[in-house]
Amino acid sequence: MKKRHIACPECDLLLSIPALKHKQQALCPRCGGVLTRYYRHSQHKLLAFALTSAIFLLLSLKFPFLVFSSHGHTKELTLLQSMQAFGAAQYYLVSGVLFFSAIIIPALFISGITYVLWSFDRKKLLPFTASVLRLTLLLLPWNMAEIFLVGVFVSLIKVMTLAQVSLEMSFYSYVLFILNLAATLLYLDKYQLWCLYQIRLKHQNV
Amino acid sequence: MSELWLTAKQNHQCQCHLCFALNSEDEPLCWQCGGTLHGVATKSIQQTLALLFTSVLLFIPANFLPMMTTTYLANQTDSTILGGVILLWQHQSYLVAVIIFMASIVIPVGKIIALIWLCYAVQFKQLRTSKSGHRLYRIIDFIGRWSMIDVYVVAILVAMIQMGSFMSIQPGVAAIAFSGLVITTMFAAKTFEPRLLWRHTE
Repeated sequence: MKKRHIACPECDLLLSIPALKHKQQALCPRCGGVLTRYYRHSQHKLLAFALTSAIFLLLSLKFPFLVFSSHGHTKELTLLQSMQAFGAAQYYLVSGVLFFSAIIIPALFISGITYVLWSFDRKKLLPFTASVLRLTLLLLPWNMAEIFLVGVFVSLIKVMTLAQVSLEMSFYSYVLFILNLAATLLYLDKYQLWCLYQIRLKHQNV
Repeated sequence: MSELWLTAKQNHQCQCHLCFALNSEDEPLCWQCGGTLHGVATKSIQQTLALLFTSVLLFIPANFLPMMTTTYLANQTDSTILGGVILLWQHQSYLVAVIIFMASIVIPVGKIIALIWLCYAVQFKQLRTSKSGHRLYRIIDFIGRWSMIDVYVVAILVAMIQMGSFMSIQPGVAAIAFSGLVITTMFAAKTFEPRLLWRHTE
């Protein structure tokens, strides 16, 4: 990693980031914000975890998510059905927000990051790599998959006294998806990705 | 020490907030990623305050209208957010009550107050230490998404508990207002420019 001048994105101070070793992070001397973290082979780990989480996300759409039984009523819910409840009650807006924040945005994020990393692995960059990377990073704060999972736990505790709820395949798959997504986010570093992009671009132009 | 510190703005540069590329000050779009460049002194404070005002307005229906309606043997009960928390507390589900109370009331209110204070501090240069203000901003930015929990909880309860005439749960209007509240406060935190907290030291 070469020294490069940047401004701290949080306080605008001009600084240069020194060469970092494995697991080191660079902090802004003025505001203390984390500028970048460096992990050895981070782009390969990133790709591996992103692909794994994509597989688990797809699996969690297919099977039952929760099975709920009480007083002779049994109800099976898939992941998508658990988000459609608002839509069924004409609250399309809320339904859409939930659906986007817990499934669509994480899915778009995973596909975006996979596209960018795949592009970095080739001799010639794929078209729109910079735009895809930009949009992928823009989506990031709107991913609420882990919040959905906590919401599931809270509602389980709420109905535990009322009925029997059993966790099914899709639920475990979704938990694994969240764990892999968390690992992906751990290795995700804006600065490192843009550095890689510049290096790739330079190689291509030589 | 602070005389040695040079910011991008003082150097007549503007950094793209998405890709770290330094652009010259008068450039409208970033040369590397094509994103719009936002100089430090844009309309950040006005935008943040406008969004905060919207979220304060949304806070009223979110808390006074029912979040969900429970029908139990033909008896309908509406419950607001705070009503639900009190009910959970009475049923000895202390952990869940505390989680919902924190996520749906403490975090949004704290976030709105903190952002208003930060806007005030930037506008009137009341800030003695930029660092603590900045730390506050980071916490707000990180924690904001978690208010969404309650909407997810209601969504799952509504989907699960549909047992015909015996018992069913319907969502309430407050869910729309509350989702709107979370989204507007998140946008408010995003539009607030932390670089303004440091401007008086330069």
